[in-house]
Amino acid sequence: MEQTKDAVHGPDHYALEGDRVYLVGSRCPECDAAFYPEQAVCARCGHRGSEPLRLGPGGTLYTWTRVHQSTAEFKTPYVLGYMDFSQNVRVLVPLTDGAEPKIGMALELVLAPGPRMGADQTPATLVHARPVRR
Amino acid sequence: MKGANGVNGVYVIGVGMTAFGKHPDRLAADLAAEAILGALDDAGLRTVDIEAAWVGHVFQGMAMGQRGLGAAGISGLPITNVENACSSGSTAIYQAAMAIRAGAHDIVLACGVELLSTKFRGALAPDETDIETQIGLTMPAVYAMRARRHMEQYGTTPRMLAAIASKNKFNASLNPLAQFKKPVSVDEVLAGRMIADPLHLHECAPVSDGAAAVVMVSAGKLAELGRTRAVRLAASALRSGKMEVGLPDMTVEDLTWRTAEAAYQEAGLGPEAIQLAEVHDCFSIAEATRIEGLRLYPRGEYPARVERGEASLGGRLPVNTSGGLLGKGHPLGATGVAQVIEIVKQLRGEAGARQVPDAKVGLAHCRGGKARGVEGTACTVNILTV
Repeated sequence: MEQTKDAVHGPDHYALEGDRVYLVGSRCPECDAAFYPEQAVCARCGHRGSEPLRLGPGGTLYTWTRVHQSTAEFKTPYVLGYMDFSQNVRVLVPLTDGAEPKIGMALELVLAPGPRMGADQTPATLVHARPVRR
Repeated sequence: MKGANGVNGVYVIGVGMTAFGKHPDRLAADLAAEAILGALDDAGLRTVDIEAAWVGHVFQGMAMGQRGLGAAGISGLPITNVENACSSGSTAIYQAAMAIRAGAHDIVLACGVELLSTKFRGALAPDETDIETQIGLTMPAVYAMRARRHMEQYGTTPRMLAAIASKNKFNASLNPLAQFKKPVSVDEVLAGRMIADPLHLHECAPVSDGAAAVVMVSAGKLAELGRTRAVRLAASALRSGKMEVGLPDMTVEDLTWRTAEAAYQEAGLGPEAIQLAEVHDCFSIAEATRIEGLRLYPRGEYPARVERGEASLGGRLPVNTSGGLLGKGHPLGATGVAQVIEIVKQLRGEAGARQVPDAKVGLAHCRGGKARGVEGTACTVNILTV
């Protein structure tokens, strides 16, 4: 049985369409439960196998924090938040620097550097969220 | 002798623990042995009387139990090492109690131990293979985000959350075995440096070392031994977090409630019967969501009630009289056992300056860890009565 692979929001877990960024999770073909990252065995009904599910590019901010103390490979401070998608999935994402986060605000996915530092001390590129510009 | 549900009754007859704090010059095995021998002395039993033992820890490596028991001169018996995140020690109690209920043993030992100060500094994070850890999730960040939802939904203020930390530090100042010796005012909590906004330093459990142990016996063995300070383990429940589907309310602890519901049912009582509680306050906000999850206070109201003194010593329902994780310290594997020890001391009337008058029913709640996709990893609720 194929195991669910946990990895950073890297190329395995996102898709690009023009300048739009999507996260790729999965949906259970049996009971329609949605997951991010992909869940090979449905955690609700136990069905084995899943279909890819694109999330985004927009969503809303459920909650957030600014992290001031972290583990060694992260440069502080940085902002994390849980982003709710219309497909009924909540995903933890780093937020880009800039506007003060506010619960309920509209977000969109973008590719941006940080907060994780690579071996050469440069920030890794990750899927982030930023406030939708009006 | 059978309990309420036809299972064998389980009684705690001995408790022992080390001072919690920083012990970088000691071995985890020595800490465990000190707690184990203390529990045996308290029970009036010898090392050879123990029939089986369960030892909880998180980061102490292979065969911690055999090393700790060996340092106490105990070997050859069935020993089980238990890792269940911060609930490892309380899971050891759960499993030891199960062995008595099943009729397999009459005298068992449950121990929890952790030596963290030589292994960690700063924030703990969930396992590094979790996708959330890889983008920077730390344990303080998990609880900071829950705190912000609690503030948004119920009008909770940073000052109310600071009052939880201040209460527990004060209780710890009355506990000779606690890591923190001095009270900390609400203003001092709020003046502390931010760890994960809105949680300040004093609202986060410290890095701690320590060990704790309890000796439990069957009802039949208790009658034979004739101990007078026995405390009944009226319920011991263990549950794990469900994989989350959809968009759950992060201020609601489904895991805590499912575990508590099982424990209340087993003990044949409800939240209104609980007179004091030790709950897993790894962060200030955590005490609030656990207490509300246990239905000891109405949802959303706990932080405001702490500010009014209801959960303080002398209040309506004192919470974390030991000082809790925030004040007593949080040596992960030892925490769940130490919580039960505080309830035992209170029900025996041996809690000194922290004594809750006429305490007859107490609850210990422990839940730990974070794994991808679940609200929490392991949760235990133990209810003790005299």
